Amino acid sequence: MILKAKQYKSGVKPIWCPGCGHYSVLNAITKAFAALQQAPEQAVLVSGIGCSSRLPAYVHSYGFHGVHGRALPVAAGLKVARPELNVMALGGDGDGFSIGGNHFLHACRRNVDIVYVVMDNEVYGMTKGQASPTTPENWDHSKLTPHGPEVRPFQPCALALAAGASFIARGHSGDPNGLAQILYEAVQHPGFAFVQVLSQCVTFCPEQAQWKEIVHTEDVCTSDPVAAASFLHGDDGFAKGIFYRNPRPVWPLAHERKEADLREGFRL
Amino acid sequence: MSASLLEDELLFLAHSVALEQEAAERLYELADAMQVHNNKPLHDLFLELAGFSERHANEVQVHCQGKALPPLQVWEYSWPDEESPEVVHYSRIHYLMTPEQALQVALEVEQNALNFYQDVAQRTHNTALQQLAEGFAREEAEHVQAVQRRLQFLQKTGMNNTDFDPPHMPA
Amino acid sequence: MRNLTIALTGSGGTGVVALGEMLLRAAGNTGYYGILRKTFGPQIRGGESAAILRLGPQPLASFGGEIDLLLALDWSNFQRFADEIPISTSTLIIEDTAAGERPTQLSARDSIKTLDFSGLAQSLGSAHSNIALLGYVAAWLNCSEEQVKAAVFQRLHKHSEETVALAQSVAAAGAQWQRNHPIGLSPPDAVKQAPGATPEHWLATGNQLAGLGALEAGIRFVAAYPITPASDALEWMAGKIESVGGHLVQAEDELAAVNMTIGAGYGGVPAMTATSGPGLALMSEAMGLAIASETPLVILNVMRGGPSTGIPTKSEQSDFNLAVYGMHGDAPHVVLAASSIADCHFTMGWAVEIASERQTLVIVLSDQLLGQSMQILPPTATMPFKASLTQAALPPAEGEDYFRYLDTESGVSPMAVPGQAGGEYTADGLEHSQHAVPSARAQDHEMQLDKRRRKLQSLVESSHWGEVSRRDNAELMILCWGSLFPIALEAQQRLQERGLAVNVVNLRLLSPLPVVALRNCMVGMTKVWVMEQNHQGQFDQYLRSHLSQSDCADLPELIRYCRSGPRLFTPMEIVELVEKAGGAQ
Repeated sequence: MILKAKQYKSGVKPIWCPGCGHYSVLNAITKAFAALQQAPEQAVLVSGIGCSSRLPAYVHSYGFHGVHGRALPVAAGLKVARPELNVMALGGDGDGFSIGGNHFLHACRRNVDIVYVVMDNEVYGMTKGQASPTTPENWDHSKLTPHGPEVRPFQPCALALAAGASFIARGHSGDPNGLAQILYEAVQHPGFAFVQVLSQCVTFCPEQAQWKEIVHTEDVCTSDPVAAASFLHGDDGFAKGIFYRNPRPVWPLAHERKEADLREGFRL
Repeated sequence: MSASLLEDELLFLAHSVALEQEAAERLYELADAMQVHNNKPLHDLFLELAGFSERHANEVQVHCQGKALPPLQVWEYSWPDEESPEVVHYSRIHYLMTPEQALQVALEVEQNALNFYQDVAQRTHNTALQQLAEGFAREEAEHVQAVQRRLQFLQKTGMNNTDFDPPHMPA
Repeated sequence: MRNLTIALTGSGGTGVVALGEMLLRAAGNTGYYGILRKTFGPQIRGGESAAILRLGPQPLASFGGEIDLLLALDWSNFQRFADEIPISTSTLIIEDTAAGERPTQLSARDSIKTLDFSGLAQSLGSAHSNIALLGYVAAWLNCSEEQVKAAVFQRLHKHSEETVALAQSVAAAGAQWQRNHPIGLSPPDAVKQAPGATPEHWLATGNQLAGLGALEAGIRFVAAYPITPASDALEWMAGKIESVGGHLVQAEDELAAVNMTIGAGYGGVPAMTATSGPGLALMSEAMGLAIASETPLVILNVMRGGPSTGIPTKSEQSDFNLAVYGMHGDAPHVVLAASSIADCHFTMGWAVEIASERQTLVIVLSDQLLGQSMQILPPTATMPFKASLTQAALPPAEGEDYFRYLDTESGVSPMAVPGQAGGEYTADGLEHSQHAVPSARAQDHEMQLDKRRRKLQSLVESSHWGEVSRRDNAELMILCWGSLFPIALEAQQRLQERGLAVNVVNLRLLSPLPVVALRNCMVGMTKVWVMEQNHQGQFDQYLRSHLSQSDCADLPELIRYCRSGPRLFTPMEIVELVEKAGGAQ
């Protein structure tokens, strides 16, 4: 039986604001699953906390909605323990780059075979509109940072490259079909695949509706980290596409299993 | 728009099916979102529009019976824009939007669909495909008119929907 | 049945801990049971350290407290652990010529013997005075040259043959020397059949046995972040877990470690992490997640001095409150305490079984004393516990809904694991309905809170809740937990020899507290000492809060007896305490 994209929806109705970009990411995931004909029981979506981290409940697959910032460790532990599963971690920019920043770096470095989707809207939505690590430095719409954050935003893709990610891509919520294609490729990439999605927040950053006009497709996919670094450092943040793809050994590496008696070695 | 879409009847039908289905699915999704956000008039309106779209999708399906449509991945369609022409883009939606605003958006996407079919009908060299596209365009034109009539009725009523509970206070 | 305690002190790389291990092994192969405690300064290399070795003709699970023989290779910084090595006037002291200036409290002692172990080693071209001392003490213990050679080889076999051979000849010279420079103290009593002569004896630390217990009970995934004094449990497991098809991940921090462990547990693979106080504190948010999402999780917490960085290398029982109370929200879970080096195996196994059967968090409290002390002991019994998801869901029938968080009578709900078609659900730290859909409704919250508490309640009926050592006609009782138990048992024995009957009750199950079992133990008692190694009497406060909820009419007098680490409790101080109060009866 062929499963259609809408059959990958759980039927739980999202709490996202009408107009939120995350609906688009949800659709891209279900479309990618349909393209892959993913068995629902073999897929696990793992998330942290935030608007976007609500996503697993909306997908007909297994899911784990954990604590703030820790989606990646949960996903990595699950994948190492159950390597046959298709494990996808997801969350927002605050979850992934602020409270969970250390895990992001180490997930890129460790290269466990999981996909990590960050729905980046440059703002904390669930806590009502505070600046995140990707908020523009002069964004002064939050009472918490009345002068704006006054620090430069992270460049997540460049960060991922520096930390050793072997697949780096960016999508846009305005293009769920293009994003579905990126996810389709990311799932099949052996190793850690990082997908940043520019996913507009209709409520706290209504100006992001303009992203649709700014985003541009770039066909620059390379396996050369120097070329990727050069592109990403010159990038305006609105290029979309797969930027870097350089498979390397997936962790944990296979070792010959040596049978051993656990009780050996205690003899006096 | 790809050249093959303009000449290949089956490819065109595949696009038409997707166009109508995606339009309906998006409207159902918006109806759900409005329900969760307690905007009943909009929930009802999107549900009604979704019903129209779904019926239209079924009508398109009738033309496909017994035909083996090409199996396309979602990113393999050849739309004039990123998404299929009749889907309501998320960036046009707000939880406090009025039926009038929603109908305005609905009108735009119906017009987009009409344009799509008209464009194909004008540019194709395939007579059978031209007839199909013209037929679909006529139906879309009826939808456009239906939405326009609804809109005219509503515009007379008028309504102020200023958000008195804004998400934050810009500095 | 005479046993003796030998303290070895050194610093600057004199190798007293290695010396202690080699001596214990040689002694075990000669005719002694024994236990070795290691105490370290904070330095990575060359710090002050001490090894305390107790040897005797019967299995020894605790330290007596009294030091019979002190062998000092180096006096520098002796003050830093002088409190932990209670020297009395009857302590025989031998120092090396290179030991340096004697501590002030020993300046009045004229009986200190000075021997030139370093000179002896140097004369043979070796800088290792500890090896000369090894030969010297081993000879006094009647260890054969072969036993000493074997112990040296066991420790140094990764070095070159020349290095091993030189060390063995230095040890032989030390042994020879013993005949010319006798210690002046008769060795402890020995047994005819050396423990090491049969396969029936092991040399192991509590951390190693905790690791063994975990793997034997079915743990197949470990994620952890290095921390003293838990790291050696992890290192032991890292070397073994792949042979049983599992994985150990060194995580980027404790937050990652515990969440990785939860991920594996959610996947149906029995999983654990190990840490110590600061790490446990970092894990506390995720512990709540395991409880709310009903994911099996085992945490071995090897306690050290706290709070904050505290005293990382030394023992204390001060993480009790954190383990029992250290979570936000109402978060019922299980806390167990290992009560001896051997019991680390049993208690870990039980923890693994409870966590998987009841889909919850189980914290096992051990401490530096149990974790890093090394004991000659019989092989641990076959592991009686096994991880099993007894409530694993069958895929629901076509068209039927699956209720992951079903409100069952036992409180345990059917848990599907990824891969099971029809069981798809999203585990959630958000409060949820029975159907695993996020819910903020009071009714759902109360139902799930009740359920999560209810599923633990029958644990108090388990016979594993604790151990009771009774004496006829006893009206006095010592209540303790963890590493204090072997010490209390020795005190009980000494008290009996002095004509005082005392019961000792040890708790393995700290939370939920087996109040009924405890009340039964208190029947007929007049006084109960509640003993623990922390500054505030954390367990005692907890105990009283529970007992006050039960019928207080016939409660015996509860006496708090607590003290911070690293000064260990000694059997003799307990004897004196009980005698003083008991004599007043």
